[in-house]
Amino acid sequence: MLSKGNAKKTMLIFAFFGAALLFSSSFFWAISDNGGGRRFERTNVQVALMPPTWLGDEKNKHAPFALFGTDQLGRDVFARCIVGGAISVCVGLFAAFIAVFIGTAWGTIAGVRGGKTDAAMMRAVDILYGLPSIMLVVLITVAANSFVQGTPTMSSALQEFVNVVALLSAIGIVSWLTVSRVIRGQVRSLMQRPAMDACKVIGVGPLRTFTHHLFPALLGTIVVYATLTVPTAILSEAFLSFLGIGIREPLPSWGNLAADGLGQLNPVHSRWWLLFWPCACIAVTLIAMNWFGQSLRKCVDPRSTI
Amino acid sequence: MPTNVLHIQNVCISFGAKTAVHDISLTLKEGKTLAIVGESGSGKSVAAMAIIGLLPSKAKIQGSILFDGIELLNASATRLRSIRGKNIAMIFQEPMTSLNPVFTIGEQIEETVRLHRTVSRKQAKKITMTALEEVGIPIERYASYPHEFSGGMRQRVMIAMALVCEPTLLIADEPTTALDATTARQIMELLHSLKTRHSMSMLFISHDLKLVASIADEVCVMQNGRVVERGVVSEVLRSPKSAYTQELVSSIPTLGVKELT
Repeated sequence: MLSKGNAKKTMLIFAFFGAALLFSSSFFWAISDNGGGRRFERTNVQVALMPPTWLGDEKNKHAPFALFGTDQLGRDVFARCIVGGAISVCVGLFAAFIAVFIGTAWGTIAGVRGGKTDAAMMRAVDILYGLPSIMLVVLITVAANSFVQGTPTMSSALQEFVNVVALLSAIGIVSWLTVSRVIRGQVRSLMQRPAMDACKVIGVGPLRTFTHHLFPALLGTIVVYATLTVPTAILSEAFLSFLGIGIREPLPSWGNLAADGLGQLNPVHSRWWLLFWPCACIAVTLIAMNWFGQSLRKCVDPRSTI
Repeated sequence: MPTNVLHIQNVCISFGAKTAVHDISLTLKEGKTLAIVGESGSGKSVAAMAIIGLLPSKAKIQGSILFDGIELLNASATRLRSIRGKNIAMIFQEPMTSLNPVFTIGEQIEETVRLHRTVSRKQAKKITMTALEEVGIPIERYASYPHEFSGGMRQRVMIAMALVCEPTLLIADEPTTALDATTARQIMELLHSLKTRHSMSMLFISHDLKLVASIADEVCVMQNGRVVERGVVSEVLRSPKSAYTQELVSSIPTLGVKELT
């Protein structure tokens, strides 16, 4: 009964669950504590800057096994990459959620109201498009950071939390523009359907028209743009952390791990593993998510050529 | 003396500088069928859309449209919503696109019931089943989607949806235009029998004089947004007074070989 397409789909689903399982078990391993602190922040200067153990380097004969090597403080790079990944992906997901939420609401209101409201709302989007979005994110995060530092009553855990929330909201707030344009276009074309007139004729109210007739038709587009916004948000987060205004030490993120690694790449000695692994993680995640989003788009809208 | 269900007086509708309907007045009496006939662009559909309130906001409407004594042109949105579907129902030209493709036809009919009547889910389903049976759709088709139906069947679904709240006025905007001749005939017969059984009034919009002759009591002929002739169907069709009506009557095709010149 299993056709070729179905077998491929089943395989993909299993591959997805396998990857998720592997990642989450590594995550729990990385934050586990078997004496001496949680693995991803446990320092051991004696084994600092060891290359990956499996390369069989002379130097780490007596060091504990480290799949990706260790950093300046002897922390396990693999554990840091996994925990940093969890943080990066979380920031990406939440930021994308905020972006898709604002974008959908904005686009739907503009599309349904039409006329002057639509024109005004879309010009606002055009203006925001013109602003360099990364600058806005920097402004918001820096403002949040100075606010946190100006409030000495906060515990350091709370400060960290506020910083992360500010970062992901800032990324979300600047990434909704494309979503709103696409949704507005969809709503405009859906509103032209006779079925919408039919709704009005049988006396369906505006709210119900949205939740029962418009939203289900938009759902495909929303899901596709959500999956395409996640990698963009992850990239913004990595970029900002790389610059030092995103996630800060001691919390790891792919961006600040790469920033750490860059300093270790010089003519005297190239400790490539510090830069290579976080970058590879970002690349693999972005490629996978973009590919997933594109195939999803193909399913939802078979006419699109991309 | 039957009361007036619909009373349209001096209605003008314009889109910007272009006037689509010039000063028309119509009266539809209880239990009767009034047909509006005219060629494409004569303003008949625009007039129907004005009654149900489907015109875009840029359209300017003047005059008065009274339904059961209620002025529709300045009624509140909530008031209009409670009238639409419950007291006034409409059937469209295109049954293909008027149904929402993502819901089963049963769900769509049930939605209308539950919007206007306070009934339980179970009762609503029962009412829907009865309506389906009445328009000649087997009740097993309750869970079918619109794309699984033929054009004629879809129009039956639209009719069931329109009738499920037992409206007093049914507006049929060219309900058979998208259908083939034999299906059209069946749909017309169905409409006529349902209209009589539920003692509804019907506003029938068409460009087909033959259909009009078979279903309407009164007819109103429109051209370029103006009413050019009105009266009892048999009289208007037998002895048309205006030149335009004469032309329309003579354009009814008859069976036989007649080559186009």
